[in-house]
Amino acid sequence: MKIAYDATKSSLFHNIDPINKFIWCFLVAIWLISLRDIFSVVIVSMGILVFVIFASKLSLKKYLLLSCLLLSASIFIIIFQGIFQEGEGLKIWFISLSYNGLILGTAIALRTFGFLASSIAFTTTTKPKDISLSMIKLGFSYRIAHVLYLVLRFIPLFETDAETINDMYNLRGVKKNLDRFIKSIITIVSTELRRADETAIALETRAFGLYKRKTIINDIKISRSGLILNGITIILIITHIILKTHIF
Amino acid sequence: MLEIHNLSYTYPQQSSPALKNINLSIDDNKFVIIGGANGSGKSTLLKSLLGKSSIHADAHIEGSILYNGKPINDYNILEWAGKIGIILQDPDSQITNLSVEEEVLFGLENLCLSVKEIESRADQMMSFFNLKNIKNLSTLSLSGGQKQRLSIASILAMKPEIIILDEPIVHLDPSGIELIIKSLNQIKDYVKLIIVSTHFLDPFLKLADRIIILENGTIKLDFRATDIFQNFHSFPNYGIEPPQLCELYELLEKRGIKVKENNLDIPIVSNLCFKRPIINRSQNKTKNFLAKISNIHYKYENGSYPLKGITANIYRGKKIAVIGNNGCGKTTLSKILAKLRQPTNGLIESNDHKTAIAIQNPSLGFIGKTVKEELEYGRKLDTSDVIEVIQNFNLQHLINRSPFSLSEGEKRRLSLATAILQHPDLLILDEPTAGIDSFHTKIILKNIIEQHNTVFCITHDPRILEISDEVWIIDDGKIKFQDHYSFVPSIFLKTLHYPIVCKTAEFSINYLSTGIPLSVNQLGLMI
Repeated sequence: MKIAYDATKSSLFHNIDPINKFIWCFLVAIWLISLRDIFSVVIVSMGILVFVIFASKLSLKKYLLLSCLLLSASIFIIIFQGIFQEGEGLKIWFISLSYNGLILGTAIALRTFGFLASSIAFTTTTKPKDISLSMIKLGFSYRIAHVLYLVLRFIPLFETDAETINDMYNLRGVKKNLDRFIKSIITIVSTELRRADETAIALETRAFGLYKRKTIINDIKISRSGLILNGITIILIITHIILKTHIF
Repeated sequence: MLEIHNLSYTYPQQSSPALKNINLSIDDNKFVIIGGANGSGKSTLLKSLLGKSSIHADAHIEGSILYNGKPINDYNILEWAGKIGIILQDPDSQITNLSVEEEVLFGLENLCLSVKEIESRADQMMSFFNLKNIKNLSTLSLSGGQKQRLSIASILAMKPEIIILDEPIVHLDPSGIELIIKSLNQIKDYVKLIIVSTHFLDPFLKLADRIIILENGTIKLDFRATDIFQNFHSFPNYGIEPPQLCELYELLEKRGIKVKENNLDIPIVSNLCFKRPIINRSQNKTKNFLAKISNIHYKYENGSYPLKGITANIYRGKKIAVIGNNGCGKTTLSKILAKLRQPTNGLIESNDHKTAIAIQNPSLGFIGKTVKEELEYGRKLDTSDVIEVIQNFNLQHLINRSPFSLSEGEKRRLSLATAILQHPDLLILDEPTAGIDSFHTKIILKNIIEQHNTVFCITHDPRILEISDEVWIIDDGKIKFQDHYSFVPSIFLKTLHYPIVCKTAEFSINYLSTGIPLSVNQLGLMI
């Protein structure tokens, strides 16, 4: 998993507690959503990316690889906005695209790259267990938190199974079509259901869910660096709003 | 004391019961082996002991299970969960946390124990099972043996009175098996009752107090472990391989070599040494090769190299058995041979050979809605060989069933039959006999022997080594040995912790009445 927690690195983000990191991602998202002009979006998105590269030791190569996945969605957003926004524009073949729409679409698309940078920073620097502990600290039931954590535990097994199915189908010459897709889904679902059945037994014999609360050994502590990061981010957002409203 | 009275268990939508009128009484401080063929009811019996939570909602159950005189369903769930722990066959389904330490702490935290108590118990168990040095490792990166040790440690930390192990060694290499046996030996004094279900009795014989054999949901044999020599002859009738230890004793006695009576103090003994035929190396070579492997390297995404320079020739029509510890790169090599993976470095020279694979988890390879459809997949009109293969693999009665509804043994046979029907130049088998009872193993071995194609078989089963033309020992990403298994030097077996053979060597040294220390090969030659 390219976006999984990377324990081999140590960075500022690794030392920030998940709650503060989550709040920071939320602030960044609000900031990006509130931006309307393309210039601001570019500046803020680039700023976030550069900050994340230094603060979480994010590999630019990994970021660009994951960005490629967003590229087709971004192109769709730009064309979609171009078609449905009114105003002057250009005509390509029989499609009319407005300049307003294209600019708005580009701004929206660029925002997603900013979201991506902050999200990767969160997932690659946060232990999955800490996410579940943070949820408990925020008042969620530990049962729900652990079930979400379990998903992370099983995704790699799920990936291995999917890879094996793909290999076997290739070897037996199964054509790549909808039928193959449906068959592989059925196989994966039946395999994972069997696994889920056994996991349920394992959880029950480990007394999971028997009490409303459980003892927590490694509790989450709110880090000072996280509070400082969020404080600075809020100041930046407010400054940006003031500058936009009163100066530009 | 655990008592079972007239227990019958019928799964939903099944007409015949999986367990029929089981009556058992097991005293405290016992180690009990439940043996039996695939589908004999071992797992159903074990899961019944877990109580209400593990029972199918629509299952029909009769009879009662009592622990210390009280029906287990009368205990509240919390109380019963604290008394019983289960280790499942597939540790990946059992482990629910991402780090070793988190996994050990998990059950203790759920029990709402104090922080001090949790830390003390977790520390004790991690030391006991030698997990302290790997406590921060991801559970995804552990070997099969480590995962099973972790599962046992996590359960034992909760201080259950009864521990149940359902086929705990099926997916383990010999070194993994040895670790589990050592662990069980250590915990014997900590728990009141250990119940192990298995169809491969050898490793557990030293520890067992009692052996119970099931067939079709009923108890067929129930005896003290020390009476194994009076009972093992009938094991094949119930689909169980006779313990190799017993066979060895009997064979030695037939040859006039006196053996200590009823001595079970040898964990694992193999027939490997005394059945090794000595062949003439020069006779068995052919120049007609299927693939020439030159200095193959392979790099995983995490940067590790499972293969670090594999060089070998695969000759047409040969049967190659590949052994090596879990994670040594055997499966990766097989995928490279099947052209499903590209080596990072190195070259494979071959004509365009067709490959078929029978994988460890056959369900992941099934395509057809029925067994018949699965076997006929991709074929045109000619189905004469399908009929032959159906008979060879004893699948006649299953042809209209869904492949997913079959038992593990049936799935393995179907997977192998399907692979053979593809008429491949190279047939790759990944642990074809793991978890399979003696009856079905014989069917699988017979069909491998009858293959005219090249067979590349990843295995830990000495019976497959016996029928192979070549054994490859892979260790540290390289082939350390490549020849007929008659010539496997003891030094390789010892460095690979292949205890089945090594223990035989110990046996030869310690137990032969001649008093003359013998090597594995000498013992083989003598017998």
